[in-house]
Amino acid sequence: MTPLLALSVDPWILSFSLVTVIVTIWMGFRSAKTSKTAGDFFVAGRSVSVGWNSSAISGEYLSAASFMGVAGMVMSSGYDALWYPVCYACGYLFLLLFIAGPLRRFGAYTIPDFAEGRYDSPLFRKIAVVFVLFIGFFYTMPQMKGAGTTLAYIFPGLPYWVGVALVASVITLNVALGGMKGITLVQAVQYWIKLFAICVPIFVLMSVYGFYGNQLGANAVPSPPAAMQVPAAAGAPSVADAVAPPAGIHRAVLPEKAPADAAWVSPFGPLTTKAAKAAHLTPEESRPYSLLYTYSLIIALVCGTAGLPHILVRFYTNPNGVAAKRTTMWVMILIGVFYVVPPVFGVMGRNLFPDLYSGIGAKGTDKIVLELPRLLNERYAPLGSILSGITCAGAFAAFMSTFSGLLVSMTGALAHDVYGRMLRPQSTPEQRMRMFKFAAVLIGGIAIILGSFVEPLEINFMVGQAFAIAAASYFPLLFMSVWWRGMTMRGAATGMLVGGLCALVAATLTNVSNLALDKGPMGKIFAGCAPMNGFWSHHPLLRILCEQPAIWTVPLAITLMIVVSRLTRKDVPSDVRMKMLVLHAPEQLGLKQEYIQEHQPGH
Amino acid sequence: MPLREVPEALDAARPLACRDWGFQTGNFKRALDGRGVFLKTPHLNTFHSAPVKPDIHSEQFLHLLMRRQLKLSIACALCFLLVLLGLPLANYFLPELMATRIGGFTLTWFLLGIGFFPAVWCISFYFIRRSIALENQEVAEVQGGDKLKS
Repeated sequence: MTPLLALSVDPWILSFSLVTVIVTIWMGFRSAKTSKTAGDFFVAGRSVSVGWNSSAISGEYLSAASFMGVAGMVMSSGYDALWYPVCYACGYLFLLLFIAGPLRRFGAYTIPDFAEGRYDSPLFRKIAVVFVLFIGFFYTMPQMKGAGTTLAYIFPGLPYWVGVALVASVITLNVALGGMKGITLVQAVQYWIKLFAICVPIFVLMSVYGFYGNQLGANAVPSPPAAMQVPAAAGAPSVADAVAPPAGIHRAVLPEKAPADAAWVSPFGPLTTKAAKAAHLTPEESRPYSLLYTYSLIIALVCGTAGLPHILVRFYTNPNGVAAKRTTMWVMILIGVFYVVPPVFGVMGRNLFPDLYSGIGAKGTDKIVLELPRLLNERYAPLGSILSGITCAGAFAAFMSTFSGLLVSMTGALAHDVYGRMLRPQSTPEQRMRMFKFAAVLIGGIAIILGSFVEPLEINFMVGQAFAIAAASYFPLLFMSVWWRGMTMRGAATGMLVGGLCALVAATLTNVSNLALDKGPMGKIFAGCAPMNGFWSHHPLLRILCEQPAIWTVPLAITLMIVVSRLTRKDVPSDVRMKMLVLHAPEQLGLKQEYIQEHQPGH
Repeated sequence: MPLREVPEALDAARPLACRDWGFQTGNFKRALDGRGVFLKTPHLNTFHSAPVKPDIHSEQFLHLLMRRQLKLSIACALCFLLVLLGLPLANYFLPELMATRIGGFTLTWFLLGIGFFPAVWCISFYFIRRSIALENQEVAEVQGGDKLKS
């Protein structure tokens, strides 16, 4: 660390963040001692209670996108960004209604286990593994962006990629040592850290600067004439410089890049009209496009939640199907309580810290959760630094817990599905556990490389894309496999592959064209993709269908599953009745068969 | 219709409710055993009703099991989807109403940012209660049949 860097570090923020990291590592090491069998590593011995599991799932689910990205996106885009937290939470209802209980009863370790077991097809396992990795890496990138942004905030001047590498290395070490059982305790505790870290600062901020409704109400006030406005200073703006709207809420002057009040506070604002605006459509012409965008986003987030492999795998750690359902309900309550808060940061950030509208990459609105509490230093120093330290600790907990879960899921796919089931079916449990550790290091390394590329992209936007891929691949697979006896392996594989790959390609096209617009190094790397932006501006509908592909990829996947299954109906597994009974019959009837048994070779 | 050796295709063509066991629907005086053979069963509403043990490996049992649970899931999902998909439509067609201010919030912001979560909790709570009750009922029916048989 250079002396200049050391001087600019806030000791409060540094110490809170360090404590979180040290506690996380300590808990991981402590739990690692109790992880002995392969079952412990992959499904925590199937013995996690409803309370612990719902806290752990919530801890794992509330990622950097939830902790930092939602607030950042609400600040930058307004009302339309509210769909993200709402659908992140409400997507669990689909999981509860259609998938959670039956999936647990099947008794697999991973989703590829389920795919193979449901259709008696080792080939299908291979196809399913590919999607665990696709979705996992897409979801990992925003976590890495969160890590890089937070470290760049704590250590001003620290390169973004160093933060990514540092955090990814620590988590990889933790996962390699403790596996699933090691991270269950860590994630459960981290949920409560995150809830505390998001709630306490915002309540203090609201009590000083005005409550949620009043802050939002300030957006109804027309902006004063330019001559009356005091320009916001570089760095932290002074609240004393703010223009006071009638409600008594302090408000700094919005920079040019900030959306206007009416567009920001209303539906069909900047987020959903971007493509139409680029095509120079009138507001009236762009409204149908915005509606289409909104519905596609809703489908991606709701169906995607029910198809995220790293979340689904946690339901196997419940003792039975009823516990899995109860767990899901508690998860909805825990994350619902959490998701009310991040938008408040976005709303207050718009009024009190609008300078972030001008920042890009790690210095943009994504860091409002970290920056906003520091305003309190103007009145009650060092309270602002302490609260900012608490939110930094929460951010660490967010990307550490989610990345841990993703790493376990992807590592499980490689060590259990690829190595233990495909490459070396006769391998011993010790060999598979060694492979688990090796795979964790390999995937951690890839995550660092990918994470270093995505600094210019919004955290929440990237997570939305991971959801869109999950919605078009795993959700149709699980939903149809659980409820339709007539589905064949070929039907399931065709639908999942085509739907998932279409979503993947569409999301990638959007990302590379966005990266081409970056003024930093990424813009140079992806300069070849810049002409795509010209194409998008002439075809706003195509742009929306690529940016939010769920509206066509999910129906496409389901339709293909039905059509191909009908055409290959002779291939319906002969024991499908028994399989459906295992999926749907209550455990007390004695039909439950753990698909994966501890003593089986390959597990 | 003959009382023995009813082909499965014929059974599948019958209305869904008829494929329940007689002791559950109450209105049907015959039920199927696990091999697709009609059994003479007493009417539930009559004093002498006696349940027949459902064969848990039968097509009929599986069908009923899935139908009951899916019906509950779809009912809850429809409530959820009505609200979820209705809100963008309300924003589209009734922008002025949705922009009405309530304590600083616009109506649509309040519904989406705050009101949505408790609504979903209520649906999930109802689903869990009904779903567990259904499972208990299924177990009781099977075990009740067992006891009677023994």
